[in-house]
Amino acid sequence: MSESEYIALVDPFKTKLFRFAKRFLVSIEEAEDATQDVLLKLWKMRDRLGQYKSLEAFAMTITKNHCLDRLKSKQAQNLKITHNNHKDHRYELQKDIEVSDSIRLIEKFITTLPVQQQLIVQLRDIEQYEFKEISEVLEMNETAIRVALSRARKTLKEKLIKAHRYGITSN
Amino acid sequence: MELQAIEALLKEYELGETSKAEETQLALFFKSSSVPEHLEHYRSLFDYFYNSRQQQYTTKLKFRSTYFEFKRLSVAASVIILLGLFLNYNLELKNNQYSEEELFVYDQTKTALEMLSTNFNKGTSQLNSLEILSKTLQKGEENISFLNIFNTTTHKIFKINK
Repeated sequence: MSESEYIALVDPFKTKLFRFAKRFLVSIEEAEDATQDVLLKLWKMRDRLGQYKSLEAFAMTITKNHCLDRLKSKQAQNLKITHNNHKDHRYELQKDIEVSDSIRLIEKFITTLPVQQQLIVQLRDIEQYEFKEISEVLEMNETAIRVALSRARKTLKEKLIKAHRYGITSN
Repeated sequence: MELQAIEALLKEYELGETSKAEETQLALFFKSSSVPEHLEHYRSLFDYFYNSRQQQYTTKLKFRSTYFEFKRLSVAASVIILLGLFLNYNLELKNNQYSEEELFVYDQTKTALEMLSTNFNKGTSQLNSLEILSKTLQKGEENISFLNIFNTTTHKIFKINK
């Protein structure tokens, strides 16, 4: 496999890897680094990629494990990444995207969900994966995914109704 | 789509029971302008999902590690240095090719300095005679020492006491 063939192969889903990594690592730079690392990891094992049913799901799983390792080593260095520490930083970096207040608010709501629920929302509602694909990536069974997704959606709805009622979104 | 159907779908959505096609229907509904007030909060949620899909990853994949890049960079740097030295050397060679006028002035200066040099040599040859004089003076001095010896001996002979 040549380098250009490989680039064409990963092109359809590399953005999904990046957005998935960003869900874990929060900062854009870190998510970019992680994506680069994952793509290089896959490049090194290019001869064995044929054996995976879905390369995309496999790549997402690798990304998940890579990001978890990153977070662990961060904690070991006593540089705890809690999502709240980073929220201001992130919006400064998102200059290229017009971020409205309500979108910002939802981002905040999502980051307060348990990490697993965040990932499921990311994969289902943003990346529009089938439950079967999500279960491959997260190595969870589909029922558990549906339950977690339902909890996440309910929490988000309640928070949104509350915000809407008090007019916080218009701030 | 009827509002009732949407509300039914939203209930299923909340339970995680909707299919992908149904969720697309919901997304389309909330993109339209006819969203009733009591469902307004869902619109921002679906807006958010849509917006999140727009962020792209455009960084080009680097296949080589930074170590190799450093190596390549150092090779490039040494090539540049060598090239710089070579060009500089060539430039100096070119500078050595003087114009005729400059060569003429150079020759004139050279002959002038040669004349000065020969005259100077003449001067130094005259200095040689001074040197001979100096040698003779030295011989005279030696002779004086003989005289001194002679003097003391005559004193002894005549037993002159000081």
